[in-house]
Amino acid sequence: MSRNNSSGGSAVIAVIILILALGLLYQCQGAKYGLPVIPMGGATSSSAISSSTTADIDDSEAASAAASVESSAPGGFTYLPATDLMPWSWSSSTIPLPWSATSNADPGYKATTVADNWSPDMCFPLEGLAYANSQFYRPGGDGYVTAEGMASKATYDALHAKAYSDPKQSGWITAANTLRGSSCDPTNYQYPWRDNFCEKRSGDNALCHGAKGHQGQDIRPETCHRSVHWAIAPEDVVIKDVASYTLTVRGTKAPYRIYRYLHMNPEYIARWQPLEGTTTVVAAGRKLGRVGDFGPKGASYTSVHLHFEIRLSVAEPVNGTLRPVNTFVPPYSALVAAYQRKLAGNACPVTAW
Amino acid sequence: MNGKIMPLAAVALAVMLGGGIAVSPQAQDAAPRVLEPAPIDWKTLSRVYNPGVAAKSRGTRGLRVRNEQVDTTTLPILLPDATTGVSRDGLAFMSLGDVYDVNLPQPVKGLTVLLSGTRVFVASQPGMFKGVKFDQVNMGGQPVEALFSQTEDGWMASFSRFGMSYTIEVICDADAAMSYCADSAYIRKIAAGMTEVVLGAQAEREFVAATGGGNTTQPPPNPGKPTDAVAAPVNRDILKRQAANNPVKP
Ligand SMILES: [Zn+2]
Repeated sequence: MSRNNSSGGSAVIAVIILILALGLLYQCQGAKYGLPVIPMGGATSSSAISSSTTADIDDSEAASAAASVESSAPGGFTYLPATDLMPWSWSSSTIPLPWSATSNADPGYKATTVADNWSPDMCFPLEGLAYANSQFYRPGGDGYVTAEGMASKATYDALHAKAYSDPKQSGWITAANTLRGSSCDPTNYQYPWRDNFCEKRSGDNALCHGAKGHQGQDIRPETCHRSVHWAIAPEDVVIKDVASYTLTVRGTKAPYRIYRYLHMNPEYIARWQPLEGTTTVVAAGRKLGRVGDFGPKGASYTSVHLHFEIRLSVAEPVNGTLRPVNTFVPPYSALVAAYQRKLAGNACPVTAW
Repeated sequence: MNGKIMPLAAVALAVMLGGGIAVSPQAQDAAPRVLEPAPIDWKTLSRVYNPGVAAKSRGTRGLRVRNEQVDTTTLPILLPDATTGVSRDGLAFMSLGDVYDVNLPQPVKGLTVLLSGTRVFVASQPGMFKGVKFDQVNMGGQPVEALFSQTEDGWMASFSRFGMSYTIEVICDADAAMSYCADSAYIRKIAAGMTEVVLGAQAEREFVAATGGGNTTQPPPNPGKPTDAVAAPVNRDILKRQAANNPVKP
């Protein structure tokens, strides 16, 4: 698989600039607020970086920064490296408001976690174009605040307190939610991709710092429309479980990976029931169901996206014997490689529903 | 700096937030190594294997209708015993030989218990689980190390016995089921009761060959320390409290 090796030099420069900038930012903004940067702009912004805190960055600068990086990938696909999470997504504050106490001392991935390709021959699990990025810390997510929300802590607190003082008042929740922007924000549907395994979440993940973090990769399908885009079988699999919005499948070949698809439309995945009686092998590339925003209370539980997990029994030598642990593994590198194959036309053909 | 950010920082920010930064060469194309199926520790199994219980378990719905799948399963199949309160009424069993899955929908809307076992592992870099806190579970009198993890929609427990890797998963995805996943009490209770061992025909033959068939009708009176036991002390008071927690409903 070819990488953007030609731009390795600019990567080095960018990293140096980044380190310098983060230091400066922390001094300038961090002292005042906590962690510095919030990607604001909301639904009306064409760029995630045009905002009040980043007022002296204009779009042309952003464009030139982006243009300095050459991508030879089909369709202009670019991606950030595995393990490189959004900076505030691993801060100690769940919602990275500028007035929250934050710390960047707890990065997401543990240093010992292997971010290799844990499923080298995988079919990309979505039909069409896709955007792997954070659902939580980008427009529309619980960990995101628009410029309006950022402008006044008092306004934000008032709306938030009112909304959650009586969740039955849906209008109040809606008012508070507008401060999070829209998940359909065009900036959510742009490259580069960004890893969000080990993003700060309440769930446990032994591979993340503090043994907590996101257990898969979130991927937006081509558009923000619910129940339009198809999820695809990643390899030849058998169905392990059909829950209300989750489909769990298992690869039929060693190492018998488990893949989980969350936020699926229940009506589509229900077709894989019942499990008892026959073992149906679902071929790689087969449509599994339509992606949505479903959760335990039905639709609109989250943004329209696929939460995609890979689980494996991973063994390490402990006191002379192998100790296997069934664990979530980082899907990002496998997804990047599978998406590149797909864009290059080497993908598994998608077969009928 | 009164909220102003230097141009240098701006460029870095642009790269960080919106730009397609070139990735530095990483081991992204490297794939962790898949190991050969792990050997089964029949000797340890012989201390806890009870053919009478196994025969009864094989007779349960699901296992019975998938008898050929049970017979081709090469590793010991673990099932939750009666103390767990887990219903087997809707049991579905599926095997690929070196790995099996058991699906146990419970008579509570949105509550499912999933079990699996595998002898195929992927090699990890040493230290991948360094610092991870494994808990001690008293599994039918045997102390077993287990890793409990809260997931997006429930809980997962991973443990190893007889050289194999086993997983319990509890999924709660409707209101009626949520209390079962509010904390780890329910999955811990299931873990403690994973004491029923079933062998398929092929595994049974291997077991007999490895142990000479032995007198395995009843577990030996003093089973000794199994090879997968862990020497760390077990807090008996906690175990007693857990045992007293019948029935299962949280
Ligand atoms: Zn997710």
